[in-house]
Amino acid sequence: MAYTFRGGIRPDDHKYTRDTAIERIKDPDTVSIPLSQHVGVMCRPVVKAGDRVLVGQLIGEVPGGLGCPVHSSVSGIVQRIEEVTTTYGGSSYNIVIENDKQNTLCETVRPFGKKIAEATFQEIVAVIRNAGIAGMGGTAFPTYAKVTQARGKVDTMIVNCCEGEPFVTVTGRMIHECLQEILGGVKILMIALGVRKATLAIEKDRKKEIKKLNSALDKEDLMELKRVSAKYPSGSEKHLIYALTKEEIPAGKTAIDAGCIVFNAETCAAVYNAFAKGMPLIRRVITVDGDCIAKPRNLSVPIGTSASYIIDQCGGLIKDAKKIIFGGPLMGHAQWDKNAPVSKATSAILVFSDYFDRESKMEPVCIRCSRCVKACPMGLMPIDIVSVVNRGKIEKAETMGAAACIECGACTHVCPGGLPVTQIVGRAKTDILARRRNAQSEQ
Amino acid sequence: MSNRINAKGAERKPLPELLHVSPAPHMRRLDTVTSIMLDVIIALLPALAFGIFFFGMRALYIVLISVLCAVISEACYQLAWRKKVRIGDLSSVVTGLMLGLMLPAGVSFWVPMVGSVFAIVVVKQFFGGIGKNIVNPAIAARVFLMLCWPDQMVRYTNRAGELVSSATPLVEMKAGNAPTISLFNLVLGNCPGAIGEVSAIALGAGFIYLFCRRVVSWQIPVTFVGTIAIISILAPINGEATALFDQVASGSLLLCALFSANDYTTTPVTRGGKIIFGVGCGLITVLIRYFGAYPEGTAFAILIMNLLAPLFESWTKPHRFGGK
Repeated sequence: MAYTFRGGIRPDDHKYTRDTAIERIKDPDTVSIPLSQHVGVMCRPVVKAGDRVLVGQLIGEVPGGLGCPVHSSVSGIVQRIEEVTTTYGGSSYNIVIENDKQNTLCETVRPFGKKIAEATFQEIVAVIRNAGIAGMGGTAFPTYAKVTQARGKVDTMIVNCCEGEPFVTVTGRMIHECLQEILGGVKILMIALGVRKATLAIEKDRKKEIKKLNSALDKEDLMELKRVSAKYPSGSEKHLIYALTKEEIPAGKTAIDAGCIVFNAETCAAVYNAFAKGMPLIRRVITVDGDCIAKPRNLSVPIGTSASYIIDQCGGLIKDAKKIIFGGPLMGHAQWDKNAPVSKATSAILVFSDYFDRESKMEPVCIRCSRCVKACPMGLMPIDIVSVVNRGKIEKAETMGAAACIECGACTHVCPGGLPVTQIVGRAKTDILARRRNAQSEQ
Repeated sequence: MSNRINAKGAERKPLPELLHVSPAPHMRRLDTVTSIMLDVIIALLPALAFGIFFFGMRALYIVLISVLCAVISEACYQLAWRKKVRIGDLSSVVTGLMLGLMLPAGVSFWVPMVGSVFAIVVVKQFFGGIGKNIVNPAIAARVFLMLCWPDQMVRYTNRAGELVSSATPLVEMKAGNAPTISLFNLVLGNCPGAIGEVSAIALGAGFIYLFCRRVVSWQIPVTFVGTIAIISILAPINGEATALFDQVASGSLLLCALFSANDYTTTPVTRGGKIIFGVGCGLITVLIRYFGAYPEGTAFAILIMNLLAPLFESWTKPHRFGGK
């Protein structure tokens, strides 16, 4: 039986860095660490300009509510705390630290003293929380909150090893190079949640990674590997759960409601590092690629390293750049600032010329080719939603299910008419959700 | 990416001061409306070549007039209505080409002119242009010409360009006879008929090209032709076992089923809708061929089904993930 779901696309995968080992670059002279890297509230800085900070030291704490603390990724002197405009148009604060290149470790960085099996749930959650771990697949939802919500409610744990985005090869490389960390993290999370069995899911065309995983899982009784069909967005939580369990999670419900919890493979590795070394999440692996990059690489970089520095470390640009994208080309975010810092959720830095997203000389047009309908993994009719939204009928778009859109970008990717389908449906979704919130607050 | 091969010595570009910011996705499939239309044109070229081979250069002139008039009338309309001229998307070339291929080689030169202008201006642009028309322009124009000048539309010629009076296989079958054309000539296209409709093998090759290029789907052509094939096996119009081949390979069925009926704009976008559409086209074609006043009914069938396409679409909405 094939583990699959309806809809989805098969973009050219462009994974040129698939066999490129993860390298550590020379640390940058300064890092600019965002205080807002996750879902939830922005951190409050606990250091000020002139303070000396060490590797792994807490520099931003959660003022209350949902959020993740932020730690220094280098040792050095805090230069300033600056306000920046994020690529979403909002405002945020970054802590700029001058690197003294000493890499002095903070004394709070020490391994978890106890055996995991003897630790209480609260202790485990506290370690995950204090390490500032957030989902590294792109959503950046605080992992401790997910674990807390799921306690006692889940019996299925899925480890997401899928990497449907073109170009990005981080998870694949982690499987080759950091498999023990990933599996260690999985075990910790299984113990914390009392889950009997974990399912690792990976696209079935990742032959080398499957081989590596299979040989490691031979020794593990509590983990199994399942191969899902190789199409995008197989990494989407709802679609992965559907592929494996055939359970459809309705809009507004989460995986936990269905008794499932999904962790990204890299998140698991981060959890392991938090316990084994006491190391908070201060570095991450990114793929640097795109048609402008001279030398595509997989790099382990400190959080807060600027894109321009990383691009420089990858041989510079060989084509005129148009976009710098953080994340994959289908769901990533185009940056306005070439010095934008890497955050916990950045899986890749892609520098594109206009090759992949040519501006059409002609006005965008729908020729009703039906590709968006075929591509939509949510079973929506993007073509109809676009036509009602363009006529201003948001209520109509709501009855068509526009609010269920996961903004995976599949419809725009396949549209030959050059229409920004995802953007139009996404705008309707934003409007609908805002109206629902207003209606709720009025009641 | 080939440009990386010489990356070592290549000149390095600076990071631009201004970056382009836009919402995801940042990567599109490389095919565009123009490339799709170009593929359709390429797919129709074998049929045109066979038409020229069987009916002489006059066939080429008819098709060229039709294409030129279609492009010119689209440009003129867009200029007159102060719209952006978008003949570059090649959609009017496809319409003109389709119409030209549906005409017999013996028509007067003004017939393709009138037909193309009608297709582009009345059927396509009056309804809002590309992607908005409710019926297929070439098919509508063909029906228009058939109704207005029925004598012109049966002016079949031989290779020398002389008008021939021999009946098409469909006309013979309608009279209850078995057509005299051999299966080989039927598949090759060596029989009386319209320029682009005679050669089953050329049309089939064109369709396979489009299918492999993922420009078209299989649902409509397969169900359309399949419905007719099944009925002509179960209840042959003239009682002959060979009726299957004559029904499928002669007349306008293959050009219409493989190309016109697979037109994006005027057919359902859902998979189920396409299947209903194809079966419906097949049934109406058979009804007209068996019981109607005309020997051929594909154009009428497609026209009627085009109008019903939104209905089929609403019957066959995809299942929404998460229910409701």
